[in-house]
Amino acid sequence: MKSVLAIILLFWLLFSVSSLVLNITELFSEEKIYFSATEDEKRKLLYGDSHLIYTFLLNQVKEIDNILLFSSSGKTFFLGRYYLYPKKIYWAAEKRNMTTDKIKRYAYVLVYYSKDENINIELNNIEGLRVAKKASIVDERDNLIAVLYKVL
Amino acid sequence: MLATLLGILLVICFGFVIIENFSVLRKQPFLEKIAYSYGLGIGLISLEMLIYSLLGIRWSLIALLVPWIFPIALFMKAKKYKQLFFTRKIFPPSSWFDRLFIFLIVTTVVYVLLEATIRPVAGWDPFATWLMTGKAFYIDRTIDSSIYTYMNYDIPPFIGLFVAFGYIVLGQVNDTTVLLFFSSFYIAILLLFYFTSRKYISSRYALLFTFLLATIQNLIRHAGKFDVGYADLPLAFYFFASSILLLLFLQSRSIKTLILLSFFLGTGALIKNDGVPFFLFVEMIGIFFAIRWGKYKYILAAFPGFLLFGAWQMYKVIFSVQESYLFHGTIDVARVPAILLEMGKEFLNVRRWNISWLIFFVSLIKTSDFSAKILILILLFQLFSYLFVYMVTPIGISQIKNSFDRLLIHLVPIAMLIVVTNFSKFRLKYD
Repeated sequence: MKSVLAIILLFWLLFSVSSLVLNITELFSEEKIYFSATEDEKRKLLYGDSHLIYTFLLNQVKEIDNILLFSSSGKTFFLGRYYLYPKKIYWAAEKRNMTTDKIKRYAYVLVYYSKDENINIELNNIEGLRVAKKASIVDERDNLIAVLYKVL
Repeated sequence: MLATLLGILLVICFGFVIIENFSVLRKQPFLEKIAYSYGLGIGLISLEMLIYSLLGIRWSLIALLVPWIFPIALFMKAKKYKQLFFTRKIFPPSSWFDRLFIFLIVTTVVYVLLEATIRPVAGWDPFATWLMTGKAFYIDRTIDSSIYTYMNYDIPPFIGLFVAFGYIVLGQVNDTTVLLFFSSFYIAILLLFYFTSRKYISSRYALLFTFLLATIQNLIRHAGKFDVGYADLPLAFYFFASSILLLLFLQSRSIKTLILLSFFLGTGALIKNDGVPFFLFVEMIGIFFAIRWGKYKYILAAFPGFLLFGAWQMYKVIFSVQESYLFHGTIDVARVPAILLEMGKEFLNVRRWNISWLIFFVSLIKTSDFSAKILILILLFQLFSYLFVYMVTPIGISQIKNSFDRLLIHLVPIAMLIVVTNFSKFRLKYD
């Protein structure tokens, strides 16, 4: 019994040591980019387009508040809530249920064009709703990723 | 970074001063007290900020530090600081074996801390919930109840409070270095684990098992890698510390230990809602034994925990914070087989847990120690509470795959301690 226990402990120890070695190897190989990246680059790596969108909004459209977000991505919404606080952003998760009157309660509408899903929202075509395009946000390759509208 | 370390040091100082002034844990080694001090300090500073918020006092560093002048002055006057500078070695590495494992443990900790500081918060829940409330509390300089309406979630405030404290010390929101507050719980768990294990096994094997605990991949993820910032590692600390304090109380029958236990349990309940059943159950165990010994006044010692828990419940009622779905959902018993299957798969997930859970279940055959039986009882109760949550959750079975690994973090230090107590029944050649 004792020899079985010793073998198990030895196996467990070897497993742990090899995991530690693997972890450290990964740190200096797959994750080494984080050592040289700027703060902005790190956030772009972690948060993707959301970082571009919300940094742009915070820096270029400082008066925004009470935003309605159209997005299929929950992560985009939660990051927006985190980035923008104390400015408020709300998620129109169920786009089909959004009525004109509900949209008018918000000062701004942000439409996020996810790469994974085609979002085709034409706010100007919604009856009774008047909006003005405030800003278009593009990525490094000039691909459109989001549009900000002011609700009139 | 230095400001964050200062914040952590302040928290440890607050906890340590209270422990020393009230002569609690007198027989515990210095580093073990440091671990308890961190947990106590986090609870105390969070409670202080909560009280300030209820009294309408806006938080500032000066306002938060001023009340600590008195206990620190008392500590200095009693010259207890002299005890800090003893000359005996903390870790007497008498052999190559000991030195090797100290080196491995230190290497693991340094690796984890490095991971924690090279990038901002990455996990979904941290920026959606935990650091979100921390940022909101910091910007508002109080707990503004509208944040709960905005977030539509009834999370307890303590994670947000100590994150806000970190930002106050830093003077700004910095969601990279503040993660060190979470990593510090990892170090505290390892310290507590080592010194508690020493009561059952030799220093040599205590170091070995501490290393095995330290290298559990899911713990490393939550202490420094991509999942740092979740509330589960802090809760694991409070579960573990509370379990050890309960064992200490059962051994010493000290009312001071029971008071400290109650405070830790209450803090855990205000870290995350998962801490509530644990708080109630372990508190009841303590009170049960106190009554059994005829020490009826000890029931009052449970007051700190119920005060913390009750204050938060009252806050939720007063400010109409949305109640958890647990109070509205229906129990779906038909889910139980599927839940148990998913739970079983997670226990066998070697990538996340090494073979720690496998060894835990195998070691149960050797359970005879009273301490081990108490710990197993606590662990089983908490597992059952998680089973209950999965039976009620409106999200369904899919939630298990996304969350059970994090729930197991709460219990893995306790499970490892059970392995140690059962292992102590064997005598191997290198004792």
